[in-house]
Amino acid sequence: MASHHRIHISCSSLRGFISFLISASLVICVAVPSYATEVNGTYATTYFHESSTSTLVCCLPSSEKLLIDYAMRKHGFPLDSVIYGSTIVPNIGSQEPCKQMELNLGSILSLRTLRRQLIGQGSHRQLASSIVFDIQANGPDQLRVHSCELVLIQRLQSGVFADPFELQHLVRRGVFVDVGVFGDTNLELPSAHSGQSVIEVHVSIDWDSILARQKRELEIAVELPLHARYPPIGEDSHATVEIVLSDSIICCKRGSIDDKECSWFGGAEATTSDVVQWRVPCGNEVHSVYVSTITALSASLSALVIVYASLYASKSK
Amino acid sequence: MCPYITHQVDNIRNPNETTDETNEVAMDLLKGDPRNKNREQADAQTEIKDLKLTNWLKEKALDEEKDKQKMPSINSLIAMTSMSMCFLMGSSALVRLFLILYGQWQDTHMEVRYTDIDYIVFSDAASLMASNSSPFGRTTYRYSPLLAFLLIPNSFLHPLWGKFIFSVADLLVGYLLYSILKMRAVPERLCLYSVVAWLFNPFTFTIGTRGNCEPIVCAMILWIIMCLMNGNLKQAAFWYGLVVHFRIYPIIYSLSIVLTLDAHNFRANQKPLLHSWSYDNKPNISEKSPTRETISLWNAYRNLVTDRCVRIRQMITKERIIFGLFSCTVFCFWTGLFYYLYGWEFLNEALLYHLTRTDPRHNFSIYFYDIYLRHEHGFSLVERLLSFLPQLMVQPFLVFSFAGDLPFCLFLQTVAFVAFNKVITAQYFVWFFCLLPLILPWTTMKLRWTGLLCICLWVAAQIHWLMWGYLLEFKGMNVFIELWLASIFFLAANTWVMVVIMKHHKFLPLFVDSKSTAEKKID
Repeated sequence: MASHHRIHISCSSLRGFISFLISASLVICVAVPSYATEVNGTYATTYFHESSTSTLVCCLPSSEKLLIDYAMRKHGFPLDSVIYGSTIVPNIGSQEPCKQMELNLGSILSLRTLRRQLIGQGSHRQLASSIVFDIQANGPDQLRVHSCELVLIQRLQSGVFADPFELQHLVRRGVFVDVGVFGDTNLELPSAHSGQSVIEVHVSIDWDSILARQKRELEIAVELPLHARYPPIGEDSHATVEIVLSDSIICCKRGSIDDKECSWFGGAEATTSDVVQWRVPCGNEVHSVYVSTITALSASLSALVIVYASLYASKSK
Repeated sequence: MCPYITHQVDNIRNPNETTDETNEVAMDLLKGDPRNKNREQADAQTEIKDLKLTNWLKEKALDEEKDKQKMPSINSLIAMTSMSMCFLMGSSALVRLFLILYGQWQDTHMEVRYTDIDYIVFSDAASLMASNSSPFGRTTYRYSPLLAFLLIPNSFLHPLWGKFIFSVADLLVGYLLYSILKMRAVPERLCLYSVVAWLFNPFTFTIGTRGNCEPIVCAMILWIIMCLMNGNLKQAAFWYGLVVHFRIYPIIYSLSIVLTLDAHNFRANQKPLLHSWSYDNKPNISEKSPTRETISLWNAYRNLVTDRCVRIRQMITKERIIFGLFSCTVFCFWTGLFYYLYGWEFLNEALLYHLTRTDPRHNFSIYFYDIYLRHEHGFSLVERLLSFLPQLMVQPFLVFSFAGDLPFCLFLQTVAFVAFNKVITAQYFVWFFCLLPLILPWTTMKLRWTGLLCICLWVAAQIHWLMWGYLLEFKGMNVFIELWLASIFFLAANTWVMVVIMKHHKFLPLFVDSKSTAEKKID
């Protein structure tokens, strides 16, 4: 009798399990195609005029690795002005040239375009930046004898963050020369409890291979891994996080122990078309009441079932 | 007994024939003098029952004799079984070694790393500690400094040192499981099957080889059980205080361990008597099936409380006081030491964070979406307490119902604790996987089909959740509601599996109640 009862339970449980599988499959087939992923605003191209300027930022000593870090310590620039300022130049630079520096980058290079695209889907993406400089006629001879780096400074809103440890891993793999993340680097908190941050990435420029192509153009591609935080809840299915225009700085030095002279390249103020948009799924405040209720009921029901089963088993033992 | 029947019993050769002959004799008796018919009928029935019992015992003896002739000698048997356990340990060690080396290759050559992010956190904290800095300088390091100390050789010896330590702990768990089961006289084959459930469980061998520290916690908990089984109370208390400092969740075991240390069962410095596994122990399924009775929840609760109230008065014993005080002292010592060294940062990150942790990001817990929807406004004190209510309700009932069968009680407590937690990650499953082999020899559940159904349902519920989680996190689809419903389904699956396990478990206290044994002897 007991074995029949056990078989009955097993059969009915098996039927229930199979029913669940079928209904879950139907839900998946019906539900998944009706959700659309976001596709707009994930790329932006900024064209700079021929009259775009370069501005001397500072002379970075050879012992210093990061511009922002040096500016905050040496010149006392507050981090907030770097993070929240519209442009980086007045906030990190002292505009002092390096001694014995003969290179005038402004007369050799001019920024032509900055293309940015958000690659990937979901909450973990790459911000791919392609920066193109024009090299003037007198440029190659001077550039060959200098070692230079592109310094990309990207400000991030609270809805997006970069993982400093992930970036350090890329440094160890040789993708970047150096990297720094300043501001709110908390990886766990949602956007409502987080602040903005700024990333400074140093990428080496190999003049020999660039100039060997005989094109008077310097194109550098940088891919930054970024992660979305949970946005504030809203009425829409997705919240939009904007990634503003980054700042491009070229730092060059002649010898390995020399100081680096850093010049900022830019043009007009960033416009709305220069913003890359990242749409992140967010919770709906309409769900709040019934999610709380059903969660509490489910937990209570499960607890009661376990309590009853334990009393039942305790009595039968 | 009738001499004729006695003679027949003594000359039994063929059990089948004996049964027929017995029935014939019984019929003959029943056809006897009608004046003595009733008395003879009663006697005949009694004698039939006696004969049947005797026949059954003789059949069993014959079967055992045949089995013995088939079985090899004891020495060769021991050699074979030792080889089997050695083979299991050796092969599982090779699997782990392969995975560690493969993980190193994947980390170097592929974008997606095999190593868990936690291992990198541990290693960074260890290198900070090696350079005389606080391990809490590493963001998201939320463990005892003991763990960072263990991994200091990562900095100067090899980065894989920690993974080897965790994998060795993993193997140690397998060995401790085997030892505990042998102490309870579980047959060798059953021991090996149970240990295989840990050593070759994909969850467990990937956890250690990816660099997660849970195997160390599991080994400590099993060692505590073993110390209790050997009567080493102070040693058990020491390790319990240490494991609670290391990882807070074992605090839920405190009441069940204390209840197990009954004065009749356990005396300090004396090896307690253990209930052994036995072939003749029939399962709980009998003619008096509990399903026929109507269980009144209120009556059962009242009886349980009454019974337990009486026992509470008898709870204060020397062994319990020793265990409680000693484990508290050990916990306070380690906590105090690291507070002295690292200050509030240690307390906040290693202890208080875990007590108040709520994570709005998606995880297996049913609470994640509720927490996310209300994270901007926060929760009131009443709401926080209400959300703890299921946990607070379930744990005492499990403890008071099953504390005697300590491994089973700890297993159920852990499953319930994980299921009702505010945050559930996959590594938490290891907490009850290490206790599962200790209850397998006492389950009447067959792999086909109930066992397979439990496994499939639990795994399917996880895969279902992972599918929605993937769509949310890696495809950017707004599937919060679906993911939350999947969490509820996962809770339902956990609940159902717990109920089925409880239903099929042969309750057997860990320790023999010496008082009732003495009373039986007197009788």
